[in-house]
Amino acid sequence: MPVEALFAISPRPGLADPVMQSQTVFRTVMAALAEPGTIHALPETLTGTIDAPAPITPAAAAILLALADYETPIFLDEAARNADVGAFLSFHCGSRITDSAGEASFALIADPTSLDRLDAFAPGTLDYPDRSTTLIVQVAELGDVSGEGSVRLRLTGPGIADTARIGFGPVNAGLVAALADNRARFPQGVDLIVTDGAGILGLPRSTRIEEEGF
Amino acid sequence: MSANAAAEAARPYNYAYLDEQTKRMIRRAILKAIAIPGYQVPFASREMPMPYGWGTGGVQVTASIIGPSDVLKVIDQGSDDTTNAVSIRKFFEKTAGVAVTTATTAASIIQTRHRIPETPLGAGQVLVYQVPIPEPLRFLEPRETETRKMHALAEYGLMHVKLYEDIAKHGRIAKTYDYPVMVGGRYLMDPSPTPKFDNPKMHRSPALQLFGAGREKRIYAVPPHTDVVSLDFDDHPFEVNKFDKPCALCGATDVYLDEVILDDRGGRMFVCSDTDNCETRRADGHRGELLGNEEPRA
Amino acid sequence: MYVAVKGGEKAIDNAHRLLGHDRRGDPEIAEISTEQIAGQLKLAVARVMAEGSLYDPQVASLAIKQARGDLIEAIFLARAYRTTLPRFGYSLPVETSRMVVERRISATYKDLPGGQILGPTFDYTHRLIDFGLAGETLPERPAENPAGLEPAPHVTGLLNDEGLIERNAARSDDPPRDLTREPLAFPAGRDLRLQNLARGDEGFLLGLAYSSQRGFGGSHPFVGEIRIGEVQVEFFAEELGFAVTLGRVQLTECEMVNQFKGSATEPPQFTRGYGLVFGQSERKSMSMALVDRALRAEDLGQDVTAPAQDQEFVLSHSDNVQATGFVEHLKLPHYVDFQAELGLVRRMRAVAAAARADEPEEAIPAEADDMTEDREAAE
Repeated sequence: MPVEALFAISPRPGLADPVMQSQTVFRTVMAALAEPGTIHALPETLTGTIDAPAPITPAAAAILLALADYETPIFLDEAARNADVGAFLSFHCGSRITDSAGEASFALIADPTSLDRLDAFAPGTLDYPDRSTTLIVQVAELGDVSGEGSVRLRLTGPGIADTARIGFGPVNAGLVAALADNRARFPQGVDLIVTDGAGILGLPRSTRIEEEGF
Repeated sequence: MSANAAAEAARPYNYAYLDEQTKRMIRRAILKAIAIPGYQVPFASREMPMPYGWGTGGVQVTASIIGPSDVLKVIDQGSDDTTNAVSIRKFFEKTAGVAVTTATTAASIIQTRHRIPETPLGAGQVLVYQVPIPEPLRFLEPRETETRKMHALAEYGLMHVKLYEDIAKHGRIAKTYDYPVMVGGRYLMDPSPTPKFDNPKMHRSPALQLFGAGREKRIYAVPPHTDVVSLDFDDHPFEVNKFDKPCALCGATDVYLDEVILDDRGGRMFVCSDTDNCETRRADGHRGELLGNEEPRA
Repeated sequence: MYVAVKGGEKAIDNAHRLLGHDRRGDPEIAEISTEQIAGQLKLAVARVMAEGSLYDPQVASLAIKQARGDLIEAIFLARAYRTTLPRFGYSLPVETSRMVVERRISATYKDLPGGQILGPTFDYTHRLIDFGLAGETLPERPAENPAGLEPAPHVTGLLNDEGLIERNAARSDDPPRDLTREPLAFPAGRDLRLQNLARGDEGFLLGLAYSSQRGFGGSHPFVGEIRIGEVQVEFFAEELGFAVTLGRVQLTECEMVNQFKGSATEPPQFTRGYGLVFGQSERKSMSMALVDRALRAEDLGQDVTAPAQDQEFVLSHSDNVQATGFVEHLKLPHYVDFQAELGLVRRMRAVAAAARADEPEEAIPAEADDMTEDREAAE
């Protein structure tokens, strides 16, 4: 297929400078997973140039564009499952879109109010706990939260000096329990990257999570 | 030289040498490693333009994380001047157009072989270790299929038996480097052949520690503030190597020293292994025996 | 006065300058060209292409020149270059039965369809140094076969017709695995084992193959066939919907036929060992076929007793770029670890000496001498 033809079917622009911007996105995600409970922001100049189809936010799109490729099948939750999103991700990442959460390397959760369990995703095996799904969870608010359906969490574990407090949402009422179950399976389990469109919060499987009241 | 100009100069290779697909694959492995502290993530290590065993794992990790705003320090045996450190530093100057430093405090990424800097690392810094044999159980059980099972079940009796045999035979644990540690209370980990003197520096360090083993195709990590405990027994607690003398150049006493042979009649002296730390101390007015034993005025 | 060693960078630059100078040798003597290497040191080029996993005679020749004839160094250069090349996909399986045969011999049949063709071989040359080669030579024109080549079906195919040899597994539509794109995990399937062996060090495989003949693994092989020649490489282009020819490569293929008395799971039959290598590399392809068969012990229900049958041992140590790196890395500075060991040895000797002083009757304790017996090499 000629290059022009590829551009003709390209739905929307991805990263303007894939080499440098992928590095920036990766370092932000790396810092977020290394320091759970701390919000790490993507530069506005980067997210501002990404024009992803709804409902993917620029930040979630940036993460997938930086990390996914033909080796990593992507699962889309019901809210994200539309032709434009599929075309955008398969065009820019070369990833296969899968209907099976259990074989996905990445899962995009556009509507976390429907995310009540995590055990459908790949937890890896005891021999190879790395063969697991990483969830990218889009939330409306992250940090100080007040909204209906949001949660406030107390985090401990690797990457946290003492304890960290963080809130996000709205999410499904069952998610905190599902996160606790996920921690209980360690070293198996899934890792979460939570984003409100600008900030990124890492919730690796190693983090112990308790819910705090408002 | 700007990053673009440097990348330009290094053509036909990509920024930081590795192609983007390789970087993504390594970056994903790093993220898994951070999420499962101490677990060795298999990765499709590439053939690098330097030999296996000479830092290809560390170089691949550094190449995958580095960006134009980083400041890189490379040490080998604690020193910025050793030939392999010079060679790796030059590689990144050329391929990534990155700023380099010898000052531990100025670096955002420190790639190391065999030492952890004496200056405590801070939040936001990344320490990248070059690892020859990532498997702490390898010399007790050569088979990957077996050691993988041991890690899966956290069954580390073999290592305890070996250390206990040392005590029975020699009265002490006869392991001075590569001293095994438990990470986050779950995974037995090889800290790479750093002297056990450096093990306590890994414990709850505010820096992110990444380990790359190129030939063995493994990446592992210790996130900041993570427990790293050297194995020991109640009646034989872990202890670090001690030196009888201070550094002959800067007078430091709580640091790791190199022994330097001065002549063929038994003349020798001890000097800091960490050259940056030694130079910083001397610049601050500390003088060791060889330089007239002085301490800076308060 | 002690001065810390400085100026590593200058020392490295100077060493490399000297290397360039030594590589060139006497400037009065004509410089060797890569065309000369490609044309006259063809077997060296073949080895670099095979173990470098890169079919490019031009690059391999240049690598040999750059490496001053050190073939493992040249293989390393080829590999490091290969890693930077874009990967478009994988070819269709090459049809070695349609090879344009330059050499084809069978040790199992006196004559067979397609005939025995000796081709350009060292076999039956008397290994006397030919002092005539010291000057310029003008070799005779090669003899030509006026009849031309007839089709040469695989010997194992002939045996297969009789049902005497195990059947090859059916051709799979699954994409082939690639150990340069994913880390090897054990147990490894035969596709990955063969890839590993094809890239493996000729000397290592030769030694293992030899050991399997001497009773370490108990193989009873016959050379069903060795063939050398060019085959077409085809690539199926999805967007076109048909295969396009990329070019031709020279290959050496060896099919070993192994005696097999049967096991708990398999009936008595001949079994296969397979070798396929870039270029003319007969020794390598034969060694590969022997080791391939040895590594199939477990699949065929045999006990794994010898090194050549042990896939973790063989596959982990066959790669000469990995091996040379790790062996040679011992020349890097290790003085930090050595210092730690020095301290330990001194302390233990002091303890031993004190013990001797306390108990003059007792023999010298052995610990001080053997205490490093089970310790790993410095890393």
